[in-house]
Amino acid sequence: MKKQIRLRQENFDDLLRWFSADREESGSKYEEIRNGLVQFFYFKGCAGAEDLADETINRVAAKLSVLDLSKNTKPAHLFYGFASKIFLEYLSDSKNKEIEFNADLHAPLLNEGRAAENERKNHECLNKCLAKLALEDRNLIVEFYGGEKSEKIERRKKLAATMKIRSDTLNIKIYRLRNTLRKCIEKCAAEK
Amino acid sequence: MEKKDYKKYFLGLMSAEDAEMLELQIISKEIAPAELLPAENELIEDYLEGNFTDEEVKAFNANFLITGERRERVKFVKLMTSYSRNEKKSAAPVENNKPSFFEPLKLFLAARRITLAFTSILLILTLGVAWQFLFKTNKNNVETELAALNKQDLSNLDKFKNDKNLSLVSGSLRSGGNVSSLSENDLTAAVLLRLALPNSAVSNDDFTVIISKDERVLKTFVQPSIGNQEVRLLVPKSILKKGSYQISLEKNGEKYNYFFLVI
Repeated sequence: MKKQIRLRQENFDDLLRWFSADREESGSKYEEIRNGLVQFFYFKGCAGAEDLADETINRVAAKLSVLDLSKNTKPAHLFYGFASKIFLEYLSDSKNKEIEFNADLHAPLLNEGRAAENERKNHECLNKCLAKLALEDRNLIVEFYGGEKSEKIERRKKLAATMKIRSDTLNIKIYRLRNTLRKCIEKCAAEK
Repeated sequence: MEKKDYKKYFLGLMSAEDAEMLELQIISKEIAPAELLPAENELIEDYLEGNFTDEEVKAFNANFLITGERRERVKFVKLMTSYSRNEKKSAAPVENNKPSFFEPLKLFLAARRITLAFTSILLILTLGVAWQFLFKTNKNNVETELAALNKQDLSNLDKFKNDKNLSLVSGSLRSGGNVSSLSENDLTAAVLLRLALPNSAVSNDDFTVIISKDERVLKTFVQPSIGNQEVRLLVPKSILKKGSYQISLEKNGEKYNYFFLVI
């Protein structure tokens, strides 16, 4: 990726003013755009979505004075253009590329043979990391990923009903638990 | 947009215009992450379960797996799915990190300024009760886990051969020979022990199994023999800690002992 832009205070102030003359409103618009950018990079499959969102904002802010904003430009459209370019830069960065074929990853789940050594380590790490979760969170994520095909859908519906939450809330909760577990597993695997 | 549209988006099978519109909606928060998260998760699960058409597999490999981060997401779902299916909740260690029982007790005592002596006595009593409770809970969990594992039919080994969470220790544990050792670090979630019966064992019936560790009996239960040749046991990793194990099989006054070490 290109050299990262450092945001100057005056550029940031200009950006907030462009969002709205009202400081409070501009603050909430800034947060809204930033959250949207984080989601954009996450669903594009980028690691470090927050950093990429900040880089997008910094670049927009730095260029704001030379951009033609007379045509009622919608912030989302402007940010999207910059974010798309940053995503391409991210992809061209060799460390983010898919550079090797991983036979283990491509093996269908139901036909896999004896676990490879690294997979065994991952299982050990998963065990350790699950043990660090609160009991209800551990049971939740194990239950969520249990079951096969059609049974799985029913199981998740029941899970949400039992917890008296909506299915989208359940998905957000699982997403957070997944992130916690992934970080823990990565740390554990690196220590082995 | 519907779930099938999100699937097309992730697979790169959506037109550029529609993809751009969707991404703009993501940035402007018109689409909530809670809509896209299950779509991405189901996409990965469908791929791992082999529910894709050839075209979808190609698209997944070419367009979805383009970043290392997405590869990691797929690996995680694969790991978690296989864990959940094979081990379910029983394989998770028994300890949990709920808020400490003693926190509210401490607050209670501090608030009421109870004397030090009384506090100490109460704490000792509480610790005693808690220890009893934890010990019993742990024991019950182990018993439940053992019972659940050994309830299944162990006569057909073929159905276990691809189970990566299970390692097999075959009949080399008899007394009289060298004591076998198992490395605790190498143990899978459950270990299948095959205890060969001597030729003189004529009974085809149930044996009483006694598992002892360091000369302390951990568990006694009943298990049938397989074809009068061996008794098979599935032992959860949670009870195989470092130490010396003895398994005794008893039937009509006859007793066969098997020894092994976990190191």
